[in-house]
Amino acid sequence: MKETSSYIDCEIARKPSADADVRFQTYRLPRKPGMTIQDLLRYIADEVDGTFAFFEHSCKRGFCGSCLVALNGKKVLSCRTLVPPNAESLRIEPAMKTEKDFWPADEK
Amino acid sequence: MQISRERYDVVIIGSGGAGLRAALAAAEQGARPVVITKGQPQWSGGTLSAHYSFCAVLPTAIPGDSPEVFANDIMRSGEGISDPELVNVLAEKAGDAVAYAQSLGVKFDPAEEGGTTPHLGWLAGHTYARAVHVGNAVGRELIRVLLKAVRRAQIPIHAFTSATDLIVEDGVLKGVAAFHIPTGELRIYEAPAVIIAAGGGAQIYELNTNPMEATGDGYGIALRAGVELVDMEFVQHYPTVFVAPAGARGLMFNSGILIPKGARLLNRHGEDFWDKYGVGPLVEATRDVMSRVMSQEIAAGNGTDRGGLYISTRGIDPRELPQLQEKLLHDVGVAPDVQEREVAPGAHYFMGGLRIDVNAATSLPGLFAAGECTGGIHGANRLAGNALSENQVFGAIAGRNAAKWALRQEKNLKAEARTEASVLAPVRELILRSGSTDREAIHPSEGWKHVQSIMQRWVGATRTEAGLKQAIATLNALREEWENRVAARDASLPYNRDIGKALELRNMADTGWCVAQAALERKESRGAHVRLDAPQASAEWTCSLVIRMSAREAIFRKQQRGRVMGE
Repeated sequence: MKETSSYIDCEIARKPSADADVRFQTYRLPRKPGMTIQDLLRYIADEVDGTFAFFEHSCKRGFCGSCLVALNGKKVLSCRTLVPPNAESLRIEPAMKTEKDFWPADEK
Repeated sequence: MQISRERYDVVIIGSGGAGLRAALAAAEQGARPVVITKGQPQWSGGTLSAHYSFCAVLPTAIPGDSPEVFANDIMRSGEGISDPELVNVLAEKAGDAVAYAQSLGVKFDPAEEGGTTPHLGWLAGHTYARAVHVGNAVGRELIRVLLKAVRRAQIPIHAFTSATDLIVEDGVLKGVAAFHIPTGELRIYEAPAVIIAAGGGAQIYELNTNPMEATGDGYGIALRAGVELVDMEFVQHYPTVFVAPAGARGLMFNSGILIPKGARLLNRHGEDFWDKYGVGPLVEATRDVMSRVMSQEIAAGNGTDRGGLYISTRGIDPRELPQLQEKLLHDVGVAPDVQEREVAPGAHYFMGGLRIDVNAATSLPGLFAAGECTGGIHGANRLAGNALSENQVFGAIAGRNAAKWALRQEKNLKAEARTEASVLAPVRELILRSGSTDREAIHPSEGWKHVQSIMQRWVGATRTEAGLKQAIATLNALREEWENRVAARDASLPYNRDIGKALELRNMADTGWCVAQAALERKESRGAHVRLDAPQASAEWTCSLVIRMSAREAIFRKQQRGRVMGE
């Protein structure tokens, strides 16, 4: 049995469609050293929850701006922000217009 | 299952520099183009990652420089197998491409403050300084103005739309099949002309410098339609890519700046191994030589547990390090005072791709291609600073010629229902497997890791016959499994990430298979292709390898290219 400190509770904004209300879903995730916020969202999408809508254009170098999210209410580029090493929980919401969960709106 | 249908003159797959430039050129000819992109044009494509340079011979070039000198630089770098005709077009037209970008509003950094003549930066391998730039974001600036012009011209761009296959009937191109992720619907784009501008495929390697979207879609689509590719064995590896810490993995460490200042390469034992390879001093080594030597040192068992080496900046004043990069590295977990950074060669650029002629026409009539997804210009090794030149020059050529071709064709090009059904079948079945509870189901993320690990291990910066055969056998198995077992976890189709990832996986597996097949066939070492079991370049291989897929098998032919050189 691993200690609780090897996990992190993440409150992730979910919404079924562009106009729907946001609700928060909590995922308990294994803490991995060196994980960025974007890695964490990708982990949820690819390994935990097949219903989680997430798309990363991701230049991966803090350059294009497409990965902006709100981490505990503060806007950050998720690809260049590490999961805070001492936080036991965190809350992540989209910071840009989305269509479903974190899937970006197709803005013209 | 819902299928929507639209008709255009030209369908352009990809919204990077090549695709947007092609769209503008097609519209100028009076054709109706559409751009389909699996992402969004403002954030997608490799062009955005071009930080510094756009090489061209301008009217204000340094005395002595000319398109001929530029072309010779490219030919030399390509190690004898670049297509001289394509290279000449690139060298002659790159200046026009820069002028076009200026006409759309790009303001290149001036040589003198307040002046209008662009400053020319020098890059390794170029005889003269000929790189124009905009801060460190020339690619982003280029996409900004191209996109603005495309929108002004009211050219439709369909975002989050993954092209899946070409529709070809009796050798006649009829259009493109696609999947629209937000609605989960299949689409048929009827068109007499198609331009593939889908970028590269370095994401097939576990360690790579590319955006997540670089999954070889253009190669996969072309292979499945029997279209010829060329030079696919040549994948440029950037020598010093971070392997650790995790957050920095895939970022490039600018060894080009730091080695001349005294940075050294060390193995896991802390030994400076460079001199034992007898390839001259490290400061003079080009990227491909560095990648080869580093890969050999790792293969000899002297790499770190994570498969890396160290680049040591001990003795260099920290203020000499590129500061923007340092800030990024610090954010993602590299300690600010570290002197040894763990790096390895990582996949960076595909020299090979769809075989095109000077009209950007491929081996399939009506199909054109431009940008990184094409092959023939860079040969065995790409000269720095030519990716934007290539995508702008050939994007324009592809757009113009695709439009002309389309406007000459008869308008009735609807394929027969059975042709469409057979093209759509694999994707339709993938969609129907969504939410499968079958214990044998393979989820797309597992497939991704599998391809990336095979390619990294057996088809990376150094290769052997045994390893390549192993890779081909494993990839063949995965390509079979894709047809029957790869499935999205969730049954709901709108915004189903897994379906997009599965479609990419199909292209990754086909692209990886093609790279491995070509690498197995070329029994020598040249440029970025290094065979440990055939370490020398061989005169009989001073040619390109053309590959196409037929009934899932590789069909090869050799194409002599370099003969124009020196005649």
